[in-house]
Amino acid sequence: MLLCAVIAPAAHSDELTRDELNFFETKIRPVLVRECYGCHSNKAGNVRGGLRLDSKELTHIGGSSGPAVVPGNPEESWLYNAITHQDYVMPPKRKLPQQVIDDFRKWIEMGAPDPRVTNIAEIRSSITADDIQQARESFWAYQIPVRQSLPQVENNSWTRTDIDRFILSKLETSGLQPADDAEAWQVLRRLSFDIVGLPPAPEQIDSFTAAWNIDPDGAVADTVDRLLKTEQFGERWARHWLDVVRYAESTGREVNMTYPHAWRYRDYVIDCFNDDKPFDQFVQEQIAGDLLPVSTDQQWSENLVATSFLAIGPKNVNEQNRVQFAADVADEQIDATTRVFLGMSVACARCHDHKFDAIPQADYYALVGVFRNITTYFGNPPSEFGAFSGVQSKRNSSLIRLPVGDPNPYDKSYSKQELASLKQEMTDKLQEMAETRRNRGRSTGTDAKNAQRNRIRMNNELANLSGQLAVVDASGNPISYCMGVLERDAPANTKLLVRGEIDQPAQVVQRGFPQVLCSEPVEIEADSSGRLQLARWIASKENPLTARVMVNRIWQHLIGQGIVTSTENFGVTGHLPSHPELLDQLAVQFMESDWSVKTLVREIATSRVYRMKSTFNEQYHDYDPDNALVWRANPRRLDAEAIRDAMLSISGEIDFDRPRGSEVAKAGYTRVQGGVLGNPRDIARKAFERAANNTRAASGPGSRPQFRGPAGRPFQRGRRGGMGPAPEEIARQVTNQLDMENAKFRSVYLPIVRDEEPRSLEVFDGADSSAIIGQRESSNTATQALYMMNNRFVIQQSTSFARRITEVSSIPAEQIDYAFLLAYGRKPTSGERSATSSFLRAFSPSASYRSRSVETLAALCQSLLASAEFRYVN
Amino acid sequence: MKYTTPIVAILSVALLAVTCSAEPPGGQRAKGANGQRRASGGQRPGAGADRDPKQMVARMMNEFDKDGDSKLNAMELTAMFASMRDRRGSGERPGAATGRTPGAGPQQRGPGQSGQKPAGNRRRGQNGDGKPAKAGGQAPKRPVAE
Repeated sequence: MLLCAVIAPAAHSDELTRDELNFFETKIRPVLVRECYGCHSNKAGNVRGGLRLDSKELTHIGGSSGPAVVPGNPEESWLYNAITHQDYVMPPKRKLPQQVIDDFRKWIEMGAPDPRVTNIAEIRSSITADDIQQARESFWAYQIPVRQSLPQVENNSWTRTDIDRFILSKLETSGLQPADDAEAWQVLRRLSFDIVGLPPAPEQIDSFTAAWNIDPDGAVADTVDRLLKTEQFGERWARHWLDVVRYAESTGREVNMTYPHAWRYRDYVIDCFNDDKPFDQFVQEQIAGDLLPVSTDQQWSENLVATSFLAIGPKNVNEQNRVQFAADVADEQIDATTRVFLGMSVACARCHDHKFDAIPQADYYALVGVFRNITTYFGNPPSEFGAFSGVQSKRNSSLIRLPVGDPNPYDKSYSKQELASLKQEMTDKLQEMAETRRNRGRSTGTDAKNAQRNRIRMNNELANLSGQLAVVDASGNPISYCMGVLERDAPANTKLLVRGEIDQPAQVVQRGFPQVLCSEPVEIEADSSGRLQLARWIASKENPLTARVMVNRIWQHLIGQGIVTSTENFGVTGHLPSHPELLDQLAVQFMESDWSVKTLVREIATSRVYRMKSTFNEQYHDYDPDNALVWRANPRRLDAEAIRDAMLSISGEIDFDRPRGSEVAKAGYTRVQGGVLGNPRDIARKAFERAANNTRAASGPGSRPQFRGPAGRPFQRGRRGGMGPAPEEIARQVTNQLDMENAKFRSVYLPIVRDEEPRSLEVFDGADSSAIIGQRESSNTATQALYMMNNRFVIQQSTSFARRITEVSSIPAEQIDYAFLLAYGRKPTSGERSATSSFLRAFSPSASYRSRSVETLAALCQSLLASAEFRYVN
Repeated sequence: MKYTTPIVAILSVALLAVTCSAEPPGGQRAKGANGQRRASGGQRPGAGADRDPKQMVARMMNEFDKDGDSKLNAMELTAMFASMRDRRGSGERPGAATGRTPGAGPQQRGPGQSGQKPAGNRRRGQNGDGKPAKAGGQAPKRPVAE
């Protein structure tokens, strides 16, 4: 489809009055031409600071600092700032006469009437209303899902649920038969990992096997119900959702600033899944939680936290141009909203009509109108000393104060003395900065470079201090904040941008939603941005995609691949559903069950399809190599979180208590550099000082200090001869801060910093937190094997695993059995038992069989953890 | 010791120095490097350069000639230069009311003091979209019940 740009002269000058026109032409334009165009004009070929004053639109967009003119507001207009020689000095060599300055002030206060409107009048789309109507009527994903009649099957006895009938029907049509049921322990292991992300305990395996032998259906149903009631269900399924919503605790990109309050959203998602919050409500809260009517402050706070969904995306805070930054943030929000909830990408219509789906460019800008009417909060509030920021963090933001503060606040509090000390430090730094500025220009060469470095350092220190002061009240108690969005007061439509360029505006587009998904034209009230309406429309039964997309995600996590394998693309270029009737049926059931995720999980997990074996069948494979018809269970590698959690669970070290906040929250608002939260040099210096102090304290008279590293290994003697952590050990603690190898809590609570994901997740294809990930990759690489062989976390867990075994039994055969049961969910075969015994003897030939040390058993345990069977669910 | 004759000359030099400080650090303004943003805080030191020099001299005499002999002695002159130095550092317009927090450093401005734009790294407290941010964070408005 071709995009037709209609270029036409401006029809009118935005209806200026004669007086306004005269004022501009006599008082403003001559000054702009004479004094400004030389350096700030396209025609002059000179656009210093990115500022162009050629047209009304470009003047309003402004340059790197912001809009040159804000109609009606001289104080916010950089042009006025510059000509009054405040922060900028314009013209550079002299000041304009006061009369001219007054004219500009008056002009801005008049609303900056300007006849120099851009010539592009209208962009016409090649996607016509008929095209949209046709797509709406013909494409499967744009039809509202309807309840399907159950298909007839020959092997009725095999089926347990409606799901089985739909799957079996297709298999029979193709001449295939479903695989047999898996072994009891396999089914339990599958259920356990799928629902709570943890392996079953040995006693659970025993009781399940006993129940299975009597009544397999009842055993499965009871186990599913039990697992759904645990807190671990929310932790497991929240992680799936966090993948999709690109959850992270930092901005990413060139200047990676932390989001110290993102963890509230993580906890909110976990609680929602545990509470089985209706999915439609869950959707609405995330898109428009700040606008939803509430009856309690607690509910209001929760809804505000939910809007973090729109604020946690990656951001280029180093962006020079404010307007560009705002456009990029809105684009990211639109992309996330449409792909996460609707399984379709609208964002490519930012620059042109969608190439394949019936989404004209105007539809994108209709959504931009909805999202540009919000303010996004993702940074740190100003302190009483003002707003400070690091040198490279140009686009700052505040935070939302929660209506209900934490009863037990996580964030750091300060005593009155500490607070006074911080304020004094701030004052001193400000004075130091002032002194440095006074002295600038007096130094040359190396001194000048040092002075510049000093200024940058002081800038950063001021930003850090201000950041600390900003988040506590006058008594030093932490204020409860969240990220999120809030509505602005005056909703407005936006202009379509030619090729998505902010300086190429075309016609104004009314706020609205993608037409192809709307059976009825959408009317948005003039006094409303339409965001609440959008949230309700997305979460409604009239929306053809929302329920289908979520059902497909849940199916994928339980069965191994989606009914639509392109989970984020239900459009024309996406894959067709393998079982469209089943998808519709499940979508309808999902909506009718009050959008209950737990009900749907139960429905799928108790089906016969779910418990099939994963046995390979060459003949069937030739016919259906992708297993699209689901003739067997899909063997799956555990995801990164499940592998780490399983190791902790098997070793008995796992801590099921939810940690407060996160490592990022502890560090506060700071820049991430070199995998370290804050300035690596400062942190290393403090770590060395702390280690030195500890050593001195422990080396008191008569004491014989024992220095041990995180793995229980003794520290080496320091370079200067004193006992203490070796420098490399301290360096490791600093540089591996985000890996958190000593943490025992579940993996969902590990710090997720963009581009610096913990090693334990990264090596096993953890989700890229800068992208919307509906389906993770599942690789099998040498680095994974090396990680399992050498990583100190794995070694720690293997040792604990071995200790656990020795505590249960001292009989070698029982120890081996127990190790297999914990790691694989089954006992070893006779061949495995024999091979294991041989391994132990060979590993420790000098030790007697009975006096085998924990170290030897730890080697066995590590081998089990490093094996493929441990990492796979069959 | 009185400096009767050089007063005007010194003031002129001082004014010239103030005006020159609008140049970039190092005093080496590249040709055509017009209008680059000053990294130093506050208003341009020469913000008052367009004022009538006679008025400035009169105001300074009024302010620093403590003994009222229409001349500045060494102490008075020292006080005047110290004052000028402080103003340069703070970017304060001579005689302008700043509404500064008592006891605050010369660079300090409270947030939300209208008409003043923090400079250097202390740009206006903004949200990412350029809207002014409030100290202590944004208090949300409770949604209206339907």
